[in-house]
Amino acid sequence: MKKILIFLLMAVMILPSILLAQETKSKEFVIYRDKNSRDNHFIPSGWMGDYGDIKLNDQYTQNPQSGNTCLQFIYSAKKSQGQGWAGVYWQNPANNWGTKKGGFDLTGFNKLTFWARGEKGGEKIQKFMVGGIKGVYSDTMELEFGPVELTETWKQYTINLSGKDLTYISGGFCWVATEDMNPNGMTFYLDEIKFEYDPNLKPETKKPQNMPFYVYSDRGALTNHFIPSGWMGDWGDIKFDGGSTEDPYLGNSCIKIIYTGAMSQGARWAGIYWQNPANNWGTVDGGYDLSKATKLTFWARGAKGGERIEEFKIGGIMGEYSDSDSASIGPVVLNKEWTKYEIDLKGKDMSYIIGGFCWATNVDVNPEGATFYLDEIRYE
Amino acid sequence: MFQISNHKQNFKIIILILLFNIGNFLGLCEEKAPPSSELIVKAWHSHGTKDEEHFKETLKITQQIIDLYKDEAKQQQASLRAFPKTKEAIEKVSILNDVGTAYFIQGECFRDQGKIKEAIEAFKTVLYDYCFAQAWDPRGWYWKVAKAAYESIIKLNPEEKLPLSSCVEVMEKEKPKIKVSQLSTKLVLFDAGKDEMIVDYERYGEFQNIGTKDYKYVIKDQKGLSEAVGEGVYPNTSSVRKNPAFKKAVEEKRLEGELWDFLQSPDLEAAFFKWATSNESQAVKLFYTGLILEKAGLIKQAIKCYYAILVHFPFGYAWTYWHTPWYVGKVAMAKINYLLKKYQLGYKLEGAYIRIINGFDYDLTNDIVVANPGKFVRIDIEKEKKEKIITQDIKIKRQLGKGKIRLVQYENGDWQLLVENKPYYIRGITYAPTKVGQSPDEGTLTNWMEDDFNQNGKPDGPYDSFVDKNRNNLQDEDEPPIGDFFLMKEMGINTIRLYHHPYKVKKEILRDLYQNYGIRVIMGDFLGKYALGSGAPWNPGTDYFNEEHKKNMLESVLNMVQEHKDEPYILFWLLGNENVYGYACNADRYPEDFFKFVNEVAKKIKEIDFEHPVAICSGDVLFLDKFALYCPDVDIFGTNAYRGEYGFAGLWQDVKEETDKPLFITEFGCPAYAQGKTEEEAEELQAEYHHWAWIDVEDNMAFKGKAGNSLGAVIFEWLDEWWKAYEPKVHDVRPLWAGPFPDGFMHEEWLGLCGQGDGKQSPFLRQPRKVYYMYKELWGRQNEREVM
Repeated sequence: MKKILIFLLMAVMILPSILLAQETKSKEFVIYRDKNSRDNHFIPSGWMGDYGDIKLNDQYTQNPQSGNTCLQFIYSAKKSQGQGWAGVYWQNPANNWGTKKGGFDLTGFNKLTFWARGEKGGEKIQKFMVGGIKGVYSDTMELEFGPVELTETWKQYTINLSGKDLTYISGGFCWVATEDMNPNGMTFYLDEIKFEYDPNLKPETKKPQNMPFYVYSDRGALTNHFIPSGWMGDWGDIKFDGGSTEDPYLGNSCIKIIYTGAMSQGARWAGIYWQNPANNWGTVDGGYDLSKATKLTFWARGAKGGERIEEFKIGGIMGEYSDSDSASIGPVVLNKEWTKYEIDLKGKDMSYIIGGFCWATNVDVNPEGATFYLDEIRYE
Repeated sequence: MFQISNHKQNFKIIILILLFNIGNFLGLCEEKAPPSSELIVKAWHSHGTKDEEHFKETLKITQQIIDLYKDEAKQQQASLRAFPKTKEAIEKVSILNDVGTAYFIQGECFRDQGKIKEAIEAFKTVLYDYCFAQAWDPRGWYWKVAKAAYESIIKLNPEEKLPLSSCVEVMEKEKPKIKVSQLSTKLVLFDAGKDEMIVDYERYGEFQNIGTKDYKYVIKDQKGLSEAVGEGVYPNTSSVRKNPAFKKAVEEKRLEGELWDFLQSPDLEAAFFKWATSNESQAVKLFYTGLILEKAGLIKQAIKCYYAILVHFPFGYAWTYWHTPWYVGKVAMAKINYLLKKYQLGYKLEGAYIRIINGFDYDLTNDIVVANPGKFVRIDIEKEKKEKIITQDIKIKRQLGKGKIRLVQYENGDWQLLVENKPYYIRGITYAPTKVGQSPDEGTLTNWMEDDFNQNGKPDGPYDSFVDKNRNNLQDEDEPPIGDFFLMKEMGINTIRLYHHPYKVKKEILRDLYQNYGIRVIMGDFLGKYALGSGAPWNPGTDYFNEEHKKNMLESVLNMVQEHKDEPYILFWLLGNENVYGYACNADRYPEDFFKFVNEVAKKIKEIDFEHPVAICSGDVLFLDKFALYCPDVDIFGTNAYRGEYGFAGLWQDVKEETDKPLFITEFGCPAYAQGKTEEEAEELQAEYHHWAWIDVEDNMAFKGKAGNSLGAVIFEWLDEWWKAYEPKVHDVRPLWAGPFPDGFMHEEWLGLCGQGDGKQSPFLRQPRKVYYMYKELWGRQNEREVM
């Protein structure tokens, strides 16, 4: 009798644990399975940038990865809104940019998986994202994944969310593409987007990147890292062309920057930080481990010669997630001809860099403004 | 680089200008509506007098402005999304500025009559309908009318409900942001560097083209140099991030807040981390990191910071409040010299110089910087103290003037002012004993030479002031009236600086000042600054091309000279008061023509007076090159300079190289108030500031082995003036502009060597500050040495 009791007691205590584990193992939180699937969560309502360039067919029936339908996105890259990029956020509720309460607590999941393919192969997605909506009700995390070059056949991608705070997510998934990377537009497909749990998955640690490591090599190149998103000071005075064909130093394109010196914001100076992820002022985890770098080199020229850039810089962003170091050169008076410049990184701690490159100048040393070009910005 | 005007004089002038404008106004335009700019001047003038009649008049004029221009003002307001920032942009919406100001004046007028409800309504109109209006303060800046209105509403009724509007939001945003950490900490370096103070730069790199415009230091071993200099010093950007205290400070959120606010934080650790990791330009970052190290008592590391500027960024610059260039390298060099001397560290910086060719204008693009970082050389301090330059053998090579007061230049290039054949060192002060409650803003300022509030037949300040020894704000039995003249004499002052207009000068007082107290007078004419003496209206002000204006100014100067030239109290003549900065004159735009005119005036003075030299009162070194070129007949370069406790940072050398003329400082000073400091601490800081500034003045006098062109200096000022931050009955502590002062800000009501206590015994009570006794002792010792 005693033995039976013990057995029953053990059964009562252990069985639920086994069941719970099984449930956790199979646990998933679907964003898209099939058109009208009851499992679907979040709405692809947050169309961004050149939203006029996007067409969505959410019940595309030809060659879905699974089930009956998949998502077809056609991105025309026509720059309908003049932005040069476009993307879609899956939100809850629809059109929630952090203004309403509506995020899900996804604690317990540790990865997001999805299937994707391009119409022809070679289509480039600048980034996929999870979370990152900011507002009165902000997501508790933000993670970028990419850039990704799609294949013609279905391929599954996994975004590791281990160790991330998923207690409030209103922006479940997102993709962003740029005209730079896809000048002729593209068509691509997504299917089976879902949050999952993998007991063997560990938090991702940053691995030291191999050199050379490009900030910019050519327009839309997949080897480019960091986004020129940190426009500072008189940002209204800056015109940025990441694909100028005016005498690039190498390859098909270079960066052309026009600084008008008009003092649009009254700051008298302006500059751009290349960040990872975009707009990261030390507020989110990101960046790269560039410990192997001993220098950053880049080529620059002025349209007329004599343009003065007060500082070229790497690192130095301070915040909750700060750059591990900083280094700079300047002031630099540009030549009319392409000239190579170098920032010495020996002795610097390059283990965590979110501000990959930066320039800054001002109207006092460029009273007429300045037009200048940059190319081949890379860590070596 | 930092400037300040002679405020008392400014406002006297403004009153005259106002009167002039009113005169013009009365005879003007019967057919056409008067311009809002004229009406607003009239309104301010009327607002200055507080009586029933003037209240009515003020409301009438302001209403006229509103009725005539409110529609246009509303259009201008609608065209804006933020406060215009440049002078041009502000002036473009002048109608908005005038209408907003008209409502503001109405608000004050109602407030003065006790009509609080109406006052609040008027202030609210500014806030909600004319938010982006700005008004010109003749001291050199625009103020935001809505901000003043907002403060007035809160003052009148702290509970007043202000519905949210874009303007209220702007005002709310302008409220102090996150207060930076106020935790008092001690800074201990995690990595002080392998080299203690003197870094062996040649080991880690190469100095190239020293002493030329192509100077640079090329780092060959960045890692080695980083290890040598240590934490916070370029190019070491890593050590600070590895400092466990840094990580702790980040975790404790002690680095949150505005970067510049950390300069006043007692949390020296956080301030150091914040600045050492900031994104300011390298030179500026190093300078302020050095400043914090200095505050923390880490003098050697601070010197490393300052010297790194000379080595790596001698061309670094920043901008002053007035947007004049501030060359950081020159200041860093002055800081090093100051610290080496103050702390007697056994080294001197030899051969260092930074010359900014074309650096005397606002334009940075034409600057050519020639630099030599120099080298630290060991010295024997005791030996240096004992060494004296033998002056007997040095002959005079040049003499300016033939009278009893003349200037001589010796063969070694040094200058002296001789009075009756003896060297005269100007230990001067500006004297304006303004009674608490009086204000030129309100038209209540009177002439101190005539003030006799106790009706004893003598002017109050000079003869009836008493020292409140126990600072109980009362005149006790053992505190008899002794007068400022006596106190100044006791302190060692030998000169006051005075303008002969707009208030009448009473000669008998100056005669007494000289005969009985031994104090001479530098007598000045504004030469068209603030439109004074030229007959020009305030707007557009004196025009140095205008023959009529020039004729009037010359006449004004020659009248002054004729009137006083035979008086024994005159030391020399002074022309202008930092006219180069502009303000109701166009010397800032046409400095060449201004200086040509100055020279013409100097020549005319010398035609009628052979006895006294002629000096100019300029603004720091702005347009110094043009002065050198166009003013050969001006004997002395005088200038207002508020540079810092380290002295005048190469000013002497600049003047020597550019003009080869003698120099005296026409104004310098430091407030006796500092945020976060006790009264005693602030007085201590003021005294220390003056002490080292004066040491710099003295070190550059003849035969001291430096520039040798210093004739002395004039301190600003004798007594606190309570009207300067707008409320004349309150001893205001509001910071007016950022500058090199103990808490990083100018507190203009606290510049006096003497305070006025609680103000109830004004204009009689004097509370001489520590700085008074510092000068008394310093100059007393120097007098003894001179006698010996």
